[in-house]
Amino acid sequence: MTQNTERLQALKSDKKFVNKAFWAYNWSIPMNFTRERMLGCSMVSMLARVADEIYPEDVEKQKELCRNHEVFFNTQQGLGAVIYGIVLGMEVERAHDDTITNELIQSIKQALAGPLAGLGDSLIQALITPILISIAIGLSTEGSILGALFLFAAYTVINAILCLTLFKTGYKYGIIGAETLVSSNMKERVIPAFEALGITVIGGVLAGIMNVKTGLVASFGQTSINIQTDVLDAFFPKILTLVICFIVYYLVKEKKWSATKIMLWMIPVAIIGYMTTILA
Amino acid sequence: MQITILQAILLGLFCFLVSTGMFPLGWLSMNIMSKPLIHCLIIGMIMGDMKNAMIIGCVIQAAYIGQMSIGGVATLPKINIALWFALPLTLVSGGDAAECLTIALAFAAVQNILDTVGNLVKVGFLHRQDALIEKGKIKQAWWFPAAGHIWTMVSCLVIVPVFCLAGSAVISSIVSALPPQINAITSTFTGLLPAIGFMILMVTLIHSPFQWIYFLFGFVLAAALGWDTISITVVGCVIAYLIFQFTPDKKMAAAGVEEDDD
Repeated sequence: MTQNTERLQALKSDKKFVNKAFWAYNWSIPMNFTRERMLGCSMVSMLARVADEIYPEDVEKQKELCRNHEVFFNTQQGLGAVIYGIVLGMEVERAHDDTITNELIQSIKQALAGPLAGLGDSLIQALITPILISIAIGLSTEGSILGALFLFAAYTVINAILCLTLFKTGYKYGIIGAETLVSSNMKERVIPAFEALGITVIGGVLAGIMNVKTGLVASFGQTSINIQTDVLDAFFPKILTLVICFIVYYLVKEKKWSATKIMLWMIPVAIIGYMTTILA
Repeated sequence: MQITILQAILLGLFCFLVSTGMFPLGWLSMNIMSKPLIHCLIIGMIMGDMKNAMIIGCVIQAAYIGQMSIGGVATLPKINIALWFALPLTLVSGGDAAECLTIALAFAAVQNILDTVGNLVKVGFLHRQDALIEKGKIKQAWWFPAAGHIWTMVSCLVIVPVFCLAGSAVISSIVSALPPQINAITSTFTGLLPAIGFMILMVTLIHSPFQWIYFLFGFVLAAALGWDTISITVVGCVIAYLIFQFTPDKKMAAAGVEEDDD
């Protein structure tokens, strides 16, 4: 065990390890972005890439590491670099200390994802990028290639500096935070607190992203009642979204259905639902 | 002047490379490569008409300056693939930006369907990554999801060269032949998908049924009150801090018990 702890301590200041993980993060982001898990896949990919350095020779632990992150995760990819760094740091710490639980890492990941998405989208997509684009258009409007080249170069350099700094900072503070937690006597109080935060934020993000509606309209002679707006929304907003979520939760937890099976069942449900106007 | 076969193939190839988001520098260049001006830069190089490509590109880019991707959903109609046949056709016919945009936007409905099918394909590869991890093939699992771009490859390498060589008349007849329900059904299906990712996450996090109340709280703040994510996070922090404050410190409680015994 001591040998393992020494190795993991060395990993905490290993620049090659952090660089390898950074490039894994960089290449994994465009690989596979789906509505089901969004950036969740890239988190798994990054961890899969460095798994054998965190848990050398231990395939079962590597599997568990990756499996833990096969969940929904979305943020702005640039500012989000700090989350990837923090997760990496905490996973390295978790490798030699059980105090850091997977639930804690997931909660912190989700709690940070929302605000960084909002901040990142406002800062990078809505501010920095339009400014660079305006400059570029000014340069290229008569047909010159300069504007386009400037746009590519300026954006890539700014993005690179931002992401690399954030990733490394995230890693450093992920480790510091995890070590502080491990050595303190506040663990039993901090962990439930973080979990509550994470779960609350997830509830909010889900409600923002999903909106399952019904198109059913009940007609009685002259009058018609729109089931969605007149009945369901008045009762509880987005209640259908909640119902779908609880059904899926039950299928995953009790019936142990795989994600693929649920998705394949959703296809006929969507088709028949739409054709019968039960789903809109 | 016509688009040559070589140019059509190069256009298809670069459309694919750029559309994956992985060319040339992965995430570092991903967002900027998706901007119309950069598409026009490469198209201009292939067509050998950089000046007009840039002039038209600037007009289109100005129209698309507000294009953002929020939660993976674009705010303006996506013309990323359509530009790769719309601009070349406009360059050879000597048209202007308006003509280019018209051709590109006409394709937007088809683009939607392509994107949804692409999402399905990618989800398949995503689940295959899970399976690889279960088998212990961790090294392969790292890069495997990239293979999901096979749909991007097929659609770019087929659509772009074919439309470039066929011309704008063919494009409009194909677009008008599509039944309107397909778009709606694919939207409904896509709207259900996030439930899977989220609920798998909840299975990990929830170990007591009472924790669902936090989920419902966040849900209500967003659904009933319309709060944004940052505000919900702030309230979540308040709850977290209260829990932290009111959870008894077990070590101090144990020390207190020991003192009482004296």
